[in-house]
Amino acid sequence: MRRWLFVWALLVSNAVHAHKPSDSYLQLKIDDRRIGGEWDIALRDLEYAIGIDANGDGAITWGEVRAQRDAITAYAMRGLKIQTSSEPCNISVSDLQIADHSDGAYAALILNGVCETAPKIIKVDYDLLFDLDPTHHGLLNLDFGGTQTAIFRPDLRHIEFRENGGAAWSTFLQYLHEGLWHVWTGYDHMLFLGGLMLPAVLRRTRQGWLPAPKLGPALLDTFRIATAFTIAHALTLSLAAMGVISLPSRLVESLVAATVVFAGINNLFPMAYRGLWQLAFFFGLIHGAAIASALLELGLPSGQRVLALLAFNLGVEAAQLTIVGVVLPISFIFRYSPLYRRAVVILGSMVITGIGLIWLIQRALAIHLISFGS
Amino acid sequence: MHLAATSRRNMGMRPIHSVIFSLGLVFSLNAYAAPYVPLSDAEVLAQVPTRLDPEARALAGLRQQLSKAPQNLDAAVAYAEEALKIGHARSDPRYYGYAEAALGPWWALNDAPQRVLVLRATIHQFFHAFDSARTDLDRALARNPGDSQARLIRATVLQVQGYPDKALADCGQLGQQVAVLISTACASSASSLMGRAKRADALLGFVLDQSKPDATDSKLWAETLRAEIAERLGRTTDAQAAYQRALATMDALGVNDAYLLAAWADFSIKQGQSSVVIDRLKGLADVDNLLLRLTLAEHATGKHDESFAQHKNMLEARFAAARQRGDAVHLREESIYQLHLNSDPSTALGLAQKNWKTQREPIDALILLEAAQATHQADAALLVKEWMRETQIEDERLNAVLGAMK
Repeated sequence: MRRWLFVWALLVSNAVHAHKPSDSYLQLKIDDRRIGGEWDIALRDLEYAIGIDANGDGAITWGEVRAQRDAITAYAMRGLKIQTSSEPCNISVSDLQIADHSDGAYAALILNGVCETAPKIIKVDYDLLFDLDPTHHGLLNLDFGGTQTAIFRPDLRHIEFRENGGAAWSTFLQYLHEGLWHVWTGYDHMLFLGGLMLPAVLRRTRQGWLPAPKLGPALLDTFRIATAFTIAHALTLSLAAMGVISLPSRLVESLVAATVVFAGINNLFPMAYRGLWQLAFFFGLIHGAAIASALLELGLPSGQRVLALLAFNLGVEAAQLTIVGVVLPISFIFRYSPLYRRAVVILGSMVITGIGLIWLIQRALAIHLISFGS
Repeated sequence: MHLAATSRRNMGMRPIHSVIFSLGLVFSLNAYAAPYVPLSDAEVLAQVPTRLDPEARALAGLRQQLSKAPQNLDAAVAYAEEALKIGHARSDPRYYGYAEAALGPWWALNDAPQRVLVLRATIHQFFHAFDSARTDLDRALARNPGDSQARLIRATVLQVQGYPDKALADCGQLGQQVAVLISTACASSASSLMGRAKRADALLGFVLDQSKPDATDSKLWAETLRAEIAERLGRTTDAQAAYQRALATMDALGVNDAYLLAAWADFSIKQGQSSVVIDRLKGLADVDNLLLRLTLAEHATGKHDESFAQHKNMLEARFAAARQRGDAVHLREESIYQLHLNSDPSTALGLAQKNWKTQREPIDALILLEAAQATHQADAALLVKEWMRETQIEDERLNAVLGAMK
């Protein structure tokens, strides 16, 4: 007994799954008061749970399945409850057929039901096989105004759905969140924007930096720069995420580092005075292509690609606005202070340039100098 | 369309093992295929273990005992061990789920009984939850440093995670409680990834020479290691011979070891021996990993016939099913599929990078490098290069890809 355990343990990690784990496929369609659907449960799972192979010869025949129809139905329906916000709906099995999935034959329970009133909210309670196999999942495909999907697990047996777009909302929130965090945790975008914004309330003159007399024009300038940057990166981000364009990541990442260097140096030795928005537009194209890699890794949900893309873009936008919102008021308040102009702008820009340079070298030459979140 | 009662080549140790749930030869990519009513009552829809199958009977007996006393630790452990044994032999995740259910009363306890910790780690490991497995094994070994089984499993997990040095430390502490062949294989497996491949191979050869001639699981393991080491060292002739010896041991044991077969298939396809691979694997398509190698071999022969197209569709369907479920246990295989069979190197690279976060064996390094090369993204190879520097692994396959990337 002990011996097999030893060697078996060593090879087990390399074991590949010959079979799929246990899943059931539940489709439901809510149409006014009526519920229609199909629930596919693996014959193998039913055999383990209630025993269908009556003659024990190892072959489950259609005759054996048919003979066990009542037992199968009773067993399954104990594990499925559907309610509206106020009362349970009546649901039953009207027919038993067979459905083939990638790992074999399933019993297909054809479901029919009705609720007292046309529901706005549907609560599904799923509790099938969890006591026998906690790795079992119930994959739900719900047509309730629009298609929504969900996976039932032992720690998630009860899910509520709102008519039309509950899932869309959660997709939106998820991608918005991802967009926000991508910028907040992507130091290169932060540094570039910070570098661009540091002198936003100063005026670039040939004598160097002078305070802007009014907030209005400074804000307008900032707004122009931010908008151009935004439109540009939304453009490349969307194109890259949709797979229309694909650029080598080393090139893109090196260019991003180059924009950071440029933003820093331009504060120290102003090279561009006017038309900063055009420059921002060009740089935006580069940053958009870089941000797209995060989105590609995440993937876009089929059926909600546009929504997810929009949400991700809005998240990126919101994150950038927070940076502007933090940097701009501070710099406006301190714009007359020589300390701000010299120490913060000059020193800050030097730091930005330095970090940007290190990134540029690392990324362009693919060597590792120092790590700080690049 | 329906499933026919298909005859299957023996997958297990005894002929009875071949009676496993038959995978669909006919299936649909769509998870929601239209249901149908079979034509006759006699139509066979699925294969399950027969009532006479000794393993199924043993498991059923233990299940009955457990159902009488679900809180009894001995009954639960006995059932779980039997379920895991069958699950391992058949590479069938359902049995791992059955074992988890049996351990239910203790499953959520951090401070579970020792035997539960080790079994729970085994289940976590099977589902690629390597960190959870290590947490359990660390606890088990802190409690009882002499638990050889926990130590052996931890060594394996550490090696899969790409830490051969830590694995070697565990192998070194196995002591006298395990057979010499097992402790040697454990240590050689780890040290062969740390710049000591030639010494590891020589040591394995020596211990194998001393061991009895009968085929055993541990011998199969040691011979598989020798073949892999020779292959990594670029000793093609030695590797060829070592793989043949390992296959002979496997045949003598009457089993099909998916790990050995996959490694041998990868090697043989590279050597231009795809037709031999097809001959051996064509009856084993219900194991995902071997279906992948079979399809790769068919691809390598260049004649893209119906069988190739069918196998490629089957692979795609299995990956789709796993994705739908939300599983990430197929990242390595799917990456290989996307790169070599589906001509989608950028998807392959994404999968290989994701895979590298959990699995860091030489084959994981190889697929990541190959995908980086195919997409011309040299920086994607940096993590692997760093790992190669740290471990000092000797692997001609990895060196060849890196050389070609320069």
